[in-house]
Amino acid sequence: MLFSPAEWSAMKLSLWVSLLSVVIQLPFTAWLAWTLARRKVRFSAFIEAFCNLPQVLPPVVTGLLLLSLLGKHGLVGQYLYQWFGVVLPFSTAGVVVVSMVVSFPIMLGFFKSAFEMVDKSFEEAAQTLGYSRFRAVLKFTIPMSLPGLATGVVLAFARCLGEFGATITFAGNIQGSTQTIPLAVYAAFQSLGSEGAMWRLVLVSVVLSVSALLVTSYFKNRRQ
Amino acid sequence: MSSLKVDIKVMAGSFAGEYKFALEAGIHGVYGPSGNGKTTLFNAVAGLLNPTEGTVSVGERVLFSSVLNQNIPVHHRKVGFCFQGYRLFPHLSVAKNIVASKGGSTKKPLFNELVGLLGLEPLLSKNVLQCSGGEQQRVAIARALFICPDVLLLDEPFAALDPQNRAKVIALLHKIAQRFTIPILVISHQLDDIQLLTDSILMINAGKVAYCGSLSTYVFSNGPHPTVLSKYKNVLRFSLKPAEVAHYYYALNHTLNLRFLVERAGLYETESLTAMLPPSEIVLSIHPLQGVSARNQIKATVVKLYTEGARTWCVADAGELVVSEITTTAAVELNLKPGDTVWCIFKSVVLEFN
Repeated sequence: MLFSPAEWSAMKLSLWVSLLSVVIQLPFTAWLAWTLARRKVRFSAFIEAFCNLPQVLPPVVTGLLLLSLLGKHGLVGQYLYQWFGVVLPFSTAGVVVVSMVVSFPIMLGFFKSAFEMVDKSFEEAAQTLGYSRFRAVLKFTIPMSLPGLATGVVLAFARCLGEFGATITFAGNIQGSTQTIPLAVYAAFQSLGSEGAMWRLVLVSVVLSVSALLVTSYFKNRRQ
Repeated sequence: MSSLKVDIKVMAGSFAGEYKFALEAGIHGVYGPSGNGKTTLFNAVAGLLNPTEGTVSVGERVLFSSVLNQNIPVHHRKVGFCFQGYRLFPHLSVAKNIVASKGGSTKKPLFNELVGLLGLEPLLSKNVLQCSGGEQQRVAIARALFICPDVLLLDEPFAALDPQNRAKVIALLHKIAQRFTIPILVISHQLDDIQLLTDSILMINAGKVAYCGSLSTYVFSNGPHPTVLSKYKNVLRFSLKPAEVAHYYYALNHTLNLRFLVERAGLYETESLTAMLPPSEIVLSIHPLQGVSARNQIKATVVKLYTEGARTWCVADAGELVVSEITTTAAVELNLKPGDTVWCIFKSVVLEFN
């Protein structure tokens, strides 16, 4: 076997967590991006600044803030535990939440500019061709903004794959449940005699990142 | 046969408009300075802008009525709209743009008919962004006609076209008007474009209908506004007769007794030609002139004179009505008055053949 069971587990977890994070946040991010791009929203600058916080905050600070918010005794977390018995920190679900938080600004930014790039007037043109406003958006605006939307999804996915600081703070580094590729690399780096595992996972990270960049450049070229 | 009836008030931001007119099937020019509410009118007819009050109807169909509390949404109005800038879908081919309307398919017989009518066959598989401005204009017209509209609106279709493409689109619109018996409204801020298309004009000024009817009647009988007169050009129509030299034709206007040698080009295949003669290029003389280079001297009788400050427009009957523009000083010195005989003199090179 090329990879050990622990390495496979880290890779599978990374891919699953990234996929879930992207899929779960997609509808809300698309809606918010659409709203910010097309509607007059009060305090839109403030909303955008808040949404972009995870991009500029030190990851460990994001992790700590999430702990104080969603931890078992956190502002929201205490109710999640009391009402539903859900404990997010140090769980796989917690890794998904962290990934969503850190990748959300990337997806939002790309989605918003993708929608802004398609002039509203195309929807008016589609309406004169027999489509309701909603169907005009589905039939023309979405396909026209698809390269930007796809780039946003791929880069958000790549961001989830690379997430480290906030995850280790909020979810720990538990093999099999919260240890993603970056955390496994870190663990291998810290333990003697694990150089082989470390470099194998580094290689996997590089391959995944390069693939993501190739996909985004494909969409970028399509847009041009 | 459908007619468009509009009697509405609109508010678009700080702009207030009031439109009242009725137009039958055929081509109608919508003329007025930029920013005076021509596109606003189109938006209100198409349903992209809701009037504050009034009625819009096509034939028996009421599209908007504040009294009946009726407002048919844009997508059910069947109003074909060719936007300024075309708004073609950039991710689709020409063929897919034409059939982009709901339920559209290249299998419908109308597709082939429109492709043939507008000469789009060689472009069908091209991406619209690879098409020239003139080609995009034709695709936009085909797309709007594919919904079998009850009214066709064209917003500044000539704005981005060179003179050759402009002439092509004008010829196409004449063909379309023969095939589709619907009101076709064409916005232009160039009066000569409208004159080449039609004599029926809807003048919009400061958000109001300043005139609706025949342009000739307006210019020759109604005492037109000087801003219209200063843009007006005489439209002379010529039949074509092959000349002795290959590729050359004689352009003939029997009424005015004019004959010009013109080189044949693609545009002249219709066997008739139109030329614009700007009134300011005509010299008026009360005697026929001899020993001058200008080859065209048309004898005419003065019908009307309009004076506006330093300029005077003289409408003279030479079998056709010809408008010439001279200085008021010249008109006074020549002592021009209706009934006088004058010679309208112009150089052949000032004729703008289309």
